[in-house]
Amino acid sequence: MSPKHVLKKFGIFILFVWAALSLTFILVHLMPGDPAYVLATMYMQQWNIKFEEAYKMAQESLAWDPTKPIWVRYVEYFANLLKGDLGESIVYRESINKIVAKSIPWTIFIGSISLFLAYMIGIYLGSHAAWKRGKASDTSIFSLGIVLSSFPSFVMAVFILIFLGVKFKLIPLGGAYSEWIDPGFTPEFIGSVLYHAIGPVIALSAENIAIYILGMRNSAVSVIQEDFVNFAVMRGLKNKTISRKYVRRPAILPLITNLAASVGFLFGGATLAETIFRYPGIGYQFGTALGMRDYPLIVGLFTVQILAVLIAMFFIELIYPLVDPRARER
Amino acid sequence: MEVSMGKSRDKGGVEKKLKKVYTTYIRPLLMNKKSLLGLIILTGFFIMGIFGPLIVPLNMESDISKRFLPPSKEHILGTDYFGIDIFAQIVHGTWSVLVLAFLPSIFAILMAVSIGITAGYLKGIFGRVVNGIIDVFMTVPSFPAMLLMAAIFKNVSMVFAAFLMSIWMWAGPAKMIRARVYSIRSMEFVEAAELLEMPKSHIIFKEITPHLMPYIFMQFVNMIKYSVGASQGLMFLGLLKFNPCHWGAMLNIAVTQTGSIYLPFAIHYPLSIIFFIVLMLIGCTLLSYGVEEIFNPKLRTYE
Repeated sequence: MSPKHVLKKFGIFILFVWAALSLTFILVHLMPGDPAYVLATMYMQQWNIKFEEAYKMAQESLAWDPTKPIWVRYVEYFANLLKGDLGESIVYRESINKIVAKSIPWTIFIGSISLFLAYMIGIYLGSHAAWKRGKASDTSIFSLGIVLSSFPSFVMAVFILIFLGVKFKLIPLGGAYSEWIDPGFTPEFIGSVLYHAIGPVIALSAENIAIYILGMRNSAVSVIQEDFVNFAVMRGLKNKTISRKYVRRPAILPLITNLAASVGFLFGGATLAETIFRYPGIGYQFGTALGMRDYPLIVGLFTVQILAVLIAMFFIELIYPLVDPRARER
Repeated sequence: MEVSMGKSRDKGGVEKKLKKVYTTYIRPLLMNKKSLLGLIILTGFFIMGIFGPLIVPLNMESDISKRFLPPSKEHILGTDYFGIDIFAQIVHGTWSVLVLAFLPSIFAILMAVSIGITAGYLKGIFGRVVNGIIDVFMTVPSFPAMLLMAAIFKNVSMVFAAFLMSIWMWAGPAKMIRARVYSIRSMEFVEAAELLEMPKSHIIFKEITPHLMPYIFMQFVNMIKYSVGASQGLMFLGLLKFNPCHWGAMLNIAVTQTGSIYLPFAIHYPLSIIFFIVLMLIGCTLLSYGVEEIFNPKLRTYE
């Protein structure tokens, strides 16, 4: 991989960041909906004040002034972003950078564990099912995939909260660690953090496991019908060797490019699952910000999510040629 | 000349066409076990959504004395926090669940087809620009984007909510349709049509689109599944409020507003909502996987 190649990919990455953020900016600011109006009606109900008063307050607390021309707001948004400043939250009266800094480690923690688990379990079960196509183990793995993929992460979250949390008391009902333990590098704290992560991780992995089972099965089934696999069978190679080296490896490739999409998918699921488990990650903050109509915080967190997806895409594109010799530059 | 040909088609032609549609699209769906089961489940929900409200009366008046009654003869699935029959609410919410599943998918597939074909068929800078737009839309995480859009509006109507959802659903399918068009475009029969100087509309609609139909159909079914899940999530966070009986809204009331998941005697309430959500999604998944098997015979199991 030449530096020139990396630089080119980086240029494309920057271009995409700009385009995706501009797109959301335009949609948020040009849509006929009036955030100040929505916010004002909320203030009105909350504090029992007149609408005009509430509307004025709402306008002041919004990060942007609707009377300014849109291109001025656009330039301001990107200027602040370049300085690394996401603005200030209305509700918490705190810099959004700080909120992101304290919540993103939690999401990365449970997100990476569940993505890793989903990827491993999904690929293993999917390729196994493809190899045993039509037999009992295929049918059962396939049915598992169908059922799991029908549990959106928030439904799964509610489901396991009811059973594992309330009924059998196996997992805690919410939070990221027990409040009476001081955060620090103590075994109790780490144990508590892991214990509290079980619920959110299961909720986030379930649908992804299903996606990878079904995706891997599809992809491996097509590979099995290729000539080189038939040839390997004719050469009398062991089944194990064929399924591992001849089928699994090429079948994984399309799923690797899928990983970036999984990151975006994870954020969507995290918004609901973290809200249900009151797990203080990005998704939880996003959920509460949406509930309280804290527009600067909503836009700030959304910006972070877009950046995360694009960074994931950038790295996967860099790594991909290492895995797939066909994608290497000659 | 073409117009007159179209007009001269008699009734027999229409019948023939219908028969062709039946043999190529509908019969395989009924022959495949997975898609048949999926279709049965979804048809069941349609019947429930259309005729259910006529049979099962809904009384939304709260009656605290009947709070959290367990399932019984009178209340098949028991009652909720306000003492309202759960099954009746679910039946009355079915229609809005179905509309929020199909309407966004219809909007999104129309966008995906038109934009995908444009990006794949047009050569030069314009085609590349359209392709770039698709790529940008694909990078934006769709569900958070829907949440963001829904938060800007107050009291969105059902149709508008469907439109908001579809904005974030068309890009992926459009990309796949584009790739198909791109490969079909260089095939001989399209080149022949181009050499004969057939009008562009003829090439796009009569030569290319018929080969896309299986893909379009597959994407459409996947979209339905996606929008069932996404609309439940939007309703669950309370960002759309037009029907308190929509299952996502019911789950919101059950989980966040009345905390009935923490009460051991009340878990029939969230569980019965979850059951219906998951059943509908299983129907969608089976249909989508069955359709995929039909159009991609490599995937079929030996029977």
